[in-house]
Amino acid sequence: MNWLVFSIFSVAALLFETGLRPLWHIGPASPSLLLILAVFVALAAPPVAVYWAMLVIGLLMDASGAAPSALIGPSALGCLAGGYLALQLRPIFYRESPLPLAVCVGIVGVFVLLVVAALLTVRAISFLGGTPDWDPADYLLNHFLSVLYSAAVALPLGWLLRRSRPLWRFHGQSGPRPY
Amino acid sequence: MKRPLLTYRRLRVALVLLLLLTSLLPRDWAQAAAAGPHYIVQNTVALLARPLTIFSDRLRPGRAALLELGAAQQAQDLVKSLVGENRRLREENASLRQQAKLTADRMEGVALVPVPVAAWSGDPLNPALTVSIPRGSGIAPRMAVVDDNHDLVGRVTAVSGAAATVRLITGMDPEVFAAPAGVTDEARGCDVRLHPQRNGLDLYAHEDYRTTVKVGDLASLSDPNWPSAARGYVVGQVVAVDPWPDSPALYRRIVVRPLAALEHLEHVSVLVPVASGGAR
Repeated sequence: MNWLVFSIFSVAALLFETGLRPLWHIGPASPSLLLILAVFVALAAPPVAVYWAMLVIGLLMDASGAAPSALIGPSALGCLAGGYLALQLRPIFYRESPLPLAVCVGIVGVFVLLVVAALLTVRAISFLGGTPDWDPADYLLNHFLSVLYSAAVALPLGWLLRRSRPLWRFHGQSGPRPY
Repeated sequence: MKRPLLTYRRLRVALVLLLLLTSLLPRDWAQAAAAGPHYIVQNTVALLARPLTIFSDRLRPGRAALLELGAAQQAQDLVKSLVGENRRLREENASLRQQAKLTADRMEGVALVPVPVAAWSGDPLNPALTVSIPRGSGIAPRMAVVDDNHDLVGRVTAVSGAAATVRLITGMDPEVFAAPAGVTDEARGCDVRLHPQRNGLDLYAHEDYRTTVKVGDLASLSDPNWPSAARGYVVGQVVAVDPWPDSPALYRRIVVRPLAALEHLEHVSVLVPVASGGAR
């Protein structure tokens, strides 16, 4: 995989996600372009590249303030787990259609949410410092709506990403066929 | 062949463990660990994404900046009314300051000597009070008398030993300056000569139909025959401006009711000059 292209697309996704949030948010929900990019890479790249890409994207999510309580780690671990799930799911999808990308964004996004919520709930145990204002139900509901929104945006965005596939050079000597 | 110590797999595992640790850190430690990356990433992203943010705000203004048309109009009306009220209060403040200064100037060299009311005569033709005066108080005839609210009550007409007779204002014909409350500008009021009404309770004036006196105006003493210290004290308030019965088209009957409750006075104060000699 071309890591330079990955870096450029990651930064661009973060910038567009942050800059356009005031425009396209619906209440608390706004699409996560980083999640869409992560799932796109997870469906196409070799497994080792997928894990590293998911870690990087997760760290970007944490550093940009996606995780509550200003932590570094929950989103990175959540994306790592989501990458593992995407690797298990991708053999069953028909990859020539943009719809699998949208469906995978929904499934992986929910899985990432659950992992993050589980980590933060464990952290909220009092002997670990506690997070008095942590409400997992509220967090899951707000971000679930964002995941649905992201899945909807993944349909047109997936079409664009598929057009950029030659830049990524997902073809490798080993690993699955490109998405 | 010896396996390398650090492989990508081991590095990935170490990274995962490190992230797990940072995820479960206590709040203060976690915030300290995340402060640096947060600062760098968020500031860089904010800077680079600024054109997009401005573009988004232009297309869809934020809730704080968006005012409904009705709310904006209400806000404008409220601002206008507040500005008007502010202007009115400033004017009132200026006139009150002027009045206070005039009062201070007038009260220079004048002492208020409180005296109890011993008796009240309700004769409509000659309404008067009898007050008990202390020995050596300096109270003499022609001195003005006011109540606790500094409203004009009348004038001392006779002093006999330890008592004095005060003729009430409702039995006199003072000249007053009638103008809206707080106004001392001569251009905005007019001098009228009051006369006692037959009922002994009010005063009236016979004025030209072009008079500017209105109901609610205050009548303050401006008679040169009264002590200068008494001038400016409020005699009463205009309660009626009616057409004169005999010549309704040409004249007006202005009725002034004293502000002092003349029938229920228990204490009054006499304006006694501090300097030796009689009234100024």
